[in-house]
Amino acid sequence: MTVRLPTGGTVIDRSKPITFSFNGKKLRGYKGDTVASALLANNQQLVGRSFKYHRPRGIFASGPEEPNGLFTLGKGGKLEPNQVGSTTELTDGLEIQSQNHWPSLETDFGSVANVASRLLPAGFYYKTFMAPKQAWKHLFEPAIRQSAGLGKPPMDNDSDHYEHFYTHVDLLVVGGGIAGLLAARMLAPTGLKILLLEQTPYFGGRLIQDHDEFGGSSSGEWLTTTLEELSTHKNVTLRNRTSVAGVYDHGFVIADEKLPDPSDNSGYLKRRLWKIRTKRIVLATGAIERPLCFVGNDIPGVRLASGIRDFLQNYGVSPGDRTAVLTNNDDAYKTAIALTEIGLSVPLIMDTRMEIRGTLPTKARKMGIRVEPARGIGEVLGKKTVTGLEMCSQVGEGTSLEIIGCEAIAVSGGWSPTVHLWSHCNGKLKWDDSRTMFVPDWQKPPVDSQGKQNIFPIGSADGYLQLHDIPVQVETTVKFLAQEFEKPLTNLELPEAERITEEKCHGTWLVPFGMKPANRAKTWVDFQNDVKVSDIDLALLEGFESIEHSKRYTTLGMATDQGKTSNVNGIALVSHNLGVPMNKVGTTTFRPPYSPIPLGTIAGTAKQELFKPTRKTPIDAWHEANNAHWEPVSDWRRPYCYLLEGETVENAVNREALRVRTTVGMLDATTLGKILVKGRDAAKFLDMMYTNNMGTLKPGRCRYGLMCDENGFLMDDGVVARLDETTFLCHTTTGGADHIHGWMEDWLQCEWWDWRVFTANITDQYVQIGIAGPQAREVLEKLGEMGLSEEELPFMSWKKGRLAGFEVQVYRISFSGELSYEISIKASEGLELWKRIYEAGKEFSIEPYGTEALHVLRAEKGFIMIGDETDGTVIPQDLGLDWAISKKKDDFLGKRGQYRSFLTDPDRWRLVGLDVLDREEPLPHGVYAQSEDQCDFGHPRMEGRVTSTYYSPMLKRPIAMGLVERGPERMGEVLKFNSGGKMIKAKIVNHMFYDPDKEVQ
Amino acid sequence: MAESPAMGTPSLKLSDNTGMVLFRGELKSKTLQEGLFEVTKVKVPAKGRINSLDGLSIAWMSPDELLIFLPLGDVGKLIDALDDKLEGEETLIWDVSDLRSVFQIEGHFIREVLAKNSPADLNRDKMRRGTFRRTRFGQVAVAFWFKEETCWFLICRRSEAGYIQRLFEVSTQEGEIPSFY
Repeated sequence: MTVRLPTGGTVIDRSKPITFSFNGKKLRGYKGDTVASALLANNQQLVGRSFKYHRPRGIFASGPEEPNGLFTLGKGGKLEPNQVGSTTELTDGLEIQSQNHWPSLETDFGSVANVASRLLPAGFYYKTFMAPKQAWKHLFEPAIRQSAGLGKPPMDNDSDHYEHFYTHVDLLVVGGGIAGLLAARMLAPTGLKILLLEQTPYFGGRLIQDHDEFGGSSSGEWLTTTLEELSTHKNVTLRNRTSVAGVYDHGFVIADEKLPDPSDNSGYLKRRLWKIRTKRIVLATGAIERPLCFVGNDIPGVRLASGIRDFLQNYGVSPGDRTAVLTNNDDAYKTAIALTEIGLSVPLIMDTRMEIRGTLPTKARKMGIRVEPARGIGEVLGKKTVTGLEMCSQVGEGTSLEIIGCEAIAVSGGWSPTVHLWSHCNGKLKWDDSRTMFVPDWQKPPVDSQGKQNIFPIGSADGYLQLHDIPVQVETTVKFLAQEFEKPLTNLELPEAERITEEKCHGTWLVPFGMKPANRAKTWVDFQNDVKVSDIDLALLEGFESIEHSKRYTTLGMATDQGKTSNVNGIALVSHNLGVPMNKVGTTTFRPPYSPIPLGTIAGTAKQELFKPTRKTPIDAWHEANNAHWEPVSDWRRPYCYLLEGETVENAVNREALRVRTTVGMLDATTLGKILVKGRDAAKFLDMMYTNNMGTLKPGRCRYGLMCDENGFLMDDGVVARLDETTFLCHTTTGGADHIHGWMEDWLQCEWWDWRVFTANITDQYVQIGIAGPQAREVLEKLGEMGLSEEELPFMSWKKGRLAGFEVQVYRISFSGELSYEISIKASEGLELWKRIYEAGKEFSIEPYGTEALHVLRAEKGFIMIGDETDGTVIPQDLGLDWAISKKKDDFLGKRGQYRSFLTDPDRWRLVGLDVLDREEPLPHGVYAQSEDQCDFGHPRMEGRVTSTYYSPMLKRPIAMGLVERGPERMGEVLKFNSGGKMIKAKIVNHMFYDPDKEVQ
Repeated sequence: MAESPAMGTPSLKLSDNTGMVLFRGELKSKTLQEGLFEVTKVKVPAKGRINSLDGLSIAWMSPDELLIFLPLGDVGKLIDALDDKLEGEETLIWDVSDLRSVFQIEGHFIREVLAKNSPADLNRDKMRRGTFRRTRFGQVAVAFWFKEETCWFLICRRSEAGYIQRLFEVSTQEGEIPSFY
């Protein structure tokens, strides 16, 4: 049984009990507990089922390396799947659910007889894909979906908040353990801006647990003094609960901060994503203990030796009355000593090494603990928890020498420096045989933009596991950094530590060495992804010898823990099996994040209404008050139509369009891009930008123009007004404003840098109001102090004047084919003028109209729309816009492109009108016309498609435009459009449906 | 180590009555620099800086663009004077008072709130008085600068002001502001 001991637990507060539930069962813990420690304290050893085989699994480790203890926490808007129990703080009332079992945690169908393990060997997925196609869909996929997997995704919106935080520092210290704190303390007086991040709620790393004294005082005292001293330095910031997730180029680092839960069930700021720019990184990330590979090593109760020590000392949780120890190094003896000191029994330490003479083993022996050299575990006894073990000879094949009864097995296979962050930006590793670990290769470090090393591992992250080695090693790094920053160092007093001797950790990769083949299928390497020794054997046998291949074939290290406990053992087994040295096998690639980051943290505040900025015109509130039915148009929102009470969208659109044709309507056209182009060479410049001639435009006049990209494809259109000799105002489409402005600047800055032209995107400076309809002039004349008659302001001209007391520019242009004005006014005055026009127009039954009526009106006139008639493959000639392409100009952007053979092909699809036959409804959007003959692939050949289609309330029939092969040459022909198998007939007609002779505007 | 500010969160309000004039030209030209100075009494700022005197400020926008801030009522006069003074120079001078919204931010922990949404270096030695920082706030382009530690200004496109207000609100809502700068 794992139970809470009567005393002990340095981080729990026994005066603050907490209740929580596990799978509905009410349990008790203390403030300071983690989910894992609280469960263990309640003897909840079985916490989940394994990924593939549904084997019972228990808490294995005490940190982010935990492979088994993943839980679903909370419910509703607070539900979070796959949370690591050993790094999640327990909160009052927390609801914890175990994962991946059916029907229950205790009785799991999938684990019956371990059938799955024979059906799901390495490379299962690849092999299955080779089977008949139907087998995957109907046999394998449903079965796998039912059995494999982790927690289920939440169904409700997240009720908590997240945010980002950007910082720029000189130095980032990753890890608030002994080495990290020491480095920060040494560098603090230099005044460098230092940020130290610690993933747990506590500073000090393993100092308190593993060492009594440091720096001439008790280790607790050293820690307190150090933290106090650091708090006096304004240039140093310490953050706990913040885990560094990734290191990227140019010293960019991201870290995930967990904020304490106020537990009142309301939404709160839950996590913060730190985005850090740092000049240098000191890596004090410590090391992770490795497990050992032996039969039954995944049974709950088999745990990392350091984890058992952590739970004992930090949380006062006993692993059980009797704990056997299996180790290949001296460090695990600390666990045996700690357990014995507290009064628990350690029946046996099995050490795979022959000779054991270090300080710690000597101490253990003196305490009366039985130490057996050259021994290993033949098999773990027990099903859902450990009940005992069979001891064997390490060099043998696993024959049982003795049966030992125990409730827990503390395992240590040595330590692996936490080198992930070193590797994210291409820092290389090397295998150090003397220390039995991969260590950072200082000859091949990650570098900054100047090619200089920018990450500096210290302490156990650099492979220095002994306390007495750390101060000197940290000092060397600190001195180097101070010199680099050109800061003098003061007060470099190195803390003293007890010097102990230890025996080298033995490279024990399989226990016992001669493990029988059948047993290799009962020996786990990767607990989370259920990868066994036999899977690695199989992968190698099938030729997947590169470590990157065997990793993917077996899925070793590919689970959410990213193989923190399994990678090195896996690599060693490959090395062992192939007879290739570790350095030759190498490691797989470490990629961010170090620990998973919730998607909510990554999204930050960019959710719901802040997911994407919505641009609003100054008249937006009026539209809202007048029941606008919105549509997004690039980043803007625009009224699609305005709904009267009880009106359908369709009816509103028809009413608005008819209003413009019969009396007068008004449109908020503010979103149209407005780019000012000024300079001695402005006319020359616009002649290059537009396909038609802009240089000949007279001040006071407007001209519709087309813009093509270099390939000749139509990109944007709009009206250009010449303000004076050197100034033009170019109107773009709503979505094109930013792009066209950038396009212009690109050409000016990169190609024609000697032309004297300035541009400015002044879209937001003005509100633009369109007034269209037969009575448009009458409305404006009511407000006007300016002449707007045909003589005073003819079609395609503009002038300044005053309307309702406001200074305005009035453009006589039309996108509806009606008599139409566009009024430009300062944005701050736009709403007021809008209201005044609306008032003045009441006697003419003026109504606002939205984008859809605008589209209906323009389609009735056969005007094209960028994005409808164009899609990046259409040239102006396809749209019958040859008249807008100057033949006189030497050049314009796109001219040469349009000479390419494909674009001059007479068979190109060209714009026509489509008159739908035998039908009241418009043609569906985007449908294709099918010809009688077949294409090369035996399908019906397509000969056209619909680009715009509407119901015309004016003509009282559906209208459409489309691009059709040789369209204009085939007037009167009937095409068949395929709408989901149903054929709709439409006749090719002139695309100017309404007022083709332009008598109205 | 986490501390919540006792002094409360900063507030954001629209600042009307700020006139703005766009100025594009060859900023290295002596004639242009002198002409600008004669009219405004303010020197052309260095890269990333804003110079101010008596209610008129000139901010550096790009190697050939400045933004002049002044009381709204004086915009017309200034443009006329500049047009006059710099006749013959290649410039683009335009009233852009309505192009952008100007926000005034007041209170404590302003750097922290900005740092939640902007990748700019907000350290006191980098973001100093007189620094005019073009950057982004959330997903939109902005620029900010400050008069005093507790009084900052931020400009954005007028159509995006609503987004800025909402994002600022969310960034200052109850919860922790990391005391960092």
